[in-house]
Amino acid sequence: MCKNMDWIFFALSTAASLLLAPLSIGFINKTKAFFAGRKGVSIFQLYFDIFKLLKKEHIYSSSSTWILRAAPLASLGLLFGAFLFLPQGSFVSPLAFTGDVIFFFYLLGTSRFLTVLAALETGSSFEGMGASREVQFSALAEGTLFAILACLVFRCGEPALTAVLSKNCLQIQSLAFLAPILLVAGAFFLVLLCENCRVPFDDPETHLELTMIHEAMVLDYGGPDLAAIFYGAALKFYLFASFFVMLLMPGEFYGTWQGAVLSVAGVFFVSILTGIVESCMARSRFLKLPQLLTSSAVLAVIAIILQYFFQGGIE
Amino acid sequence: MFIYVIGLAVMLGGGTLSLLCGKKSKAASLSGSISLAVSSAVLLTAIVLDFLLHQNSGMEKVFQIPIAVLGLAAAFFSPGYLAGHGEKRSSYYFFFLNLTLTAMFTLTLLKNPFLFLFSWEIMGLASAALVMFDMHSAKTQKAAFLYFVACHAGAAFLIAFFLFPYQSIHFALLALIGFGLKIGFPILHVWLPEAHPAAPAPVSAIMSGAMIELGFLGLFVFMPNNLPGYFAILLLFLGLLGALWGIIAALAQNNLKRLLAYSSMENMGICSIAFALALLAGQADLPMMRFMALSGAFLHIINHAFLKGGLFLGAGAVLKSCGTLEMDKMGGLMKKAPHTGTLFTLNAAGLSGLPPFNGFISEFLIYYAAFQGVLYGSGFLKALSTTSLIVLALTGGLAAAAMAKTIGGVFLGEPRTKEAAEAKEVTNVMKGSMYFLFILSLVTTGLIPFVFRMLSNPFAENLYRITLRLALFSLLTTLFIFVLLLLQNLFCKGGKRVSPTWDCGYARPDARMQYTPTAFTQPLVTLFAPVLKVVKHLVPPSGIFGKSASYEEKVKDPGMEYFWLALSSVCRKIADKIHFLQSGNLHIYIFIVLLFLAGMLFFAMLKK
Repeated sequence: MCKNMDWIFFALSTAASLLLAPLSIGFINKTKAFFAGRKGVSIFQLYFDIFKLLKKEHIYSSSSTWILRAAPLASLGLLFGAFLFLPQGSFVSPLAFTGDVIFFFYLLGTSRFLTVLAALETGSSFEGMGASREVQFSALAEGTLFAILACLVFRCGEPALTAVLSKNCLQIQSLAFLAPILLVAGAFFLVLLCENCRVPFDDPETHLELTMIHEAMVLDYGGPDLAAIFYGAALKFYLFASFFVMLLMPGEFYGTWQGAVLSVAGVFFVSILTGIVESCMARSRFLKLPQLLTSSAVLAVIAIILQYFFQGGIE
Repeated sequence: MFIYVIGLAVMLGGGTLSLLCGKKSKAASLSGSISLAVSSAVLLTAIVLDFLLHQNSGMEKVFQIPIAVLGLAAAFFSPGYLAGHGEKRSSYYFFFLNLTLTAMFTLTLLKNPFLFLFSWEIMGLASAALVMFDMHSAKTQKAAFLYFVACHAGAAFLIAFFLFPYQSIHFALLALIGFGLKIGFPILHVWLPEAHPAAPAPVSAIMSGAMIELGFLGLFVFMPNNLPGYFAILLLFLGLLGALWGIIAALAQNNLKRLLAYSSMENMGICSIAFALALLAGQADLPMMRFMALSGAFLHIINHAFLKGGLFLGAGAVLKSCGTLEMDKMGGLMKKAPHTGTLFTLNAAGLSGLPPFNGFISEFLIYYAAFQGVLYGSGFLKALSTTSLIVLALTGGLAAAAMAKTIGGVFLGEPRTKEAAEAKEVTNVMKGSMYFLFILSLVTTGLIPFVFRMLSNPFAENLYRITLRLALFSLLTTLFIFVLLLLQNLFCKGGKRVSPTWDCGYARPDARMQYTPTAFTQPLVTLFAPVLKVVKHLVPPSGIFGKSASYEEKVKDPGMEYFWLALSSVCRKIADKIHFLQSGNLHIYIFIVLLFLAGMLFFAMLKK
């Protein structure tokens, strides 16, 4: 395939993903409504909300300076930046380079850092609380994330997103070779729930500020800023979900149109899975969450050991 | 070489002139700062020219650049900082500042152990005098004494190391302790969090940004080539422990400069990890990984100098504007001092290794090197690299938390005290020197790829491509964010409104309701309480309508509490036991001397 075609395919699938991102949240909510025996809102509700919010006025806290004003769009911009490195719907990003996997996760880190600062800027006790929890759990999740990456990089032979996500080869016959990737996927799913503020880490639908993490940090936004935050959250979920899906997608689908369809369908499947998790369990106590994150790190480390073992890394 | 000598002579001469001015503080400060600025600029130019014209890319450049740059920044920052903070002692301050910097720069040029040690001692003594600057406070005296002892203990180990050169490769451990006391390896770090807050801000900036790194220079220059195999593993272990310990302790601090000092310990830990990875890669014959780890470590030293220098100057500016370093008593300074606040925020983000700032590129290289270890190393190296990766990531996350704490506590929200509410921005010259450091750090990001291009190493080309990409993508992301903001301004016509922060329907939001920095990191501190020594003092409200209540939390350094104080109490007990020897009778003393000499005689005979 010639290089230009790659560009076009990548651009098209990125545009499609950017458009479809809010749908993933819709699927989660629909699943939860189904489990609760409700009819639920339309799966397109987030689109309506965003359009409505874009027309409204900005409200800024009188305690704030430039950080609060710039943070929603800046963190959205950083998420966009990260998005461009992700192989989209199984088409390789033209920006990809060896080592981009570090850049990818650090861009997400900057985006979170900005959100935390903006929350602290309001001087509200709720937002301080949310920010404090956010930094705690994300710092622990970061450790797990790089343990996962160490395993994947060793498995795929290159610290690059494309390699890490495309050479995961579920098609390898040996069942033993499958074990590490399943463990890694399990650990990554926990990180996904943590980073996207989902049950059991955070309950996006709670109505008590004292029990929130992410929602508590964005209490003071309104109008287009809130729209950017809603959209950013959806985009982040889409990002993590498609990482998760491509982790498990058999290698032979990679770079084909079936793969593209499969990866988008997979994202919605992850949405439904998240919805099921949210319907089946309650949010954990905050004091228990570090244990959950540490156990996900343990899963990842077990995966690394298994991987080294199977690939003859340990003599 | 000649131009270096001229630069150093101007620096030292200016310092002496400043000392001669004595009580005439204006003249002293003028001569000191001008000579410092001129000589630093000369030295900086010389370094750059040396690199460009002579292709001289010796690694001592990495250590010289921070000295010259921070010297330049300190020259402009100091007079403003001293105004009202002991300006009468300007002559004393500038003499020792120039002397310290001269000694530091001379160190980087020396290869002779004796001269090196001589310069090393001058550096230690002169900087101890600077730590003592605020001499009337008992706390400062204690801190300066601790620093003084640490300097001399380090020198003692170094003298022992230089006395027995290469007798046994295990003597390298002596140097590791001697230089480690300067670098701030765990347990040897206890002087860092005491001396940095006590010293004037520009001095802290220089000590943290340029001086402690010189320990690595010493290790580089004087380590024998045939290091024992365990050395790299020991260094890696020290680095991992130092990075985690430093950042966990930093999280728990309430004093701004103490927090920054612990963050320096963390960053030196990261550098040690990178150096250890480079050593391990050398042993495993992985030249690419070795080059990456070394470049990462060197770059991290330079980045840390600019960023931490900027942060310490920022802390000095904060001290000037609200008269305290206790973060729980600040807040809302971003509105009063927008320049200091913005620069501090950007520097802190950079130091947490977040893109698009320059701290990221060095961390990236270290991560990359660790990934190489995971890919191509032997089983053991794979395990070590994986551990390094996880620790680096955890450290990065915690560093972001610590930096969010400082920014949030000092600059954001509402002022918590009257002093903070009446804070003012510092003078233009002081702002200028902070801008200088920040802009330089941005420029470095852009220049790094081209520096790699000029290096003759076969792997430099590869690094040129990677760092160029990183720099470009960082730039593009920043531009993209600006475009987004512009678009929002153009197209969102809903209007703007400013209103008080929403506080659950509370009628009067108050500064006392907002989260304090202590509260911000309380969950993390509780999580790590087993390894920190947290002293809590809680007075709960009593009675039915309890009125007054207080909570005080102090985090002591576990290295001090569990190691040094324990050690000193053991020593004291032993001393108590053998106290009877000190009878005051001269003949008993002479008898002891005789016994000792006889013992030595036996020892010598046994050895033969």
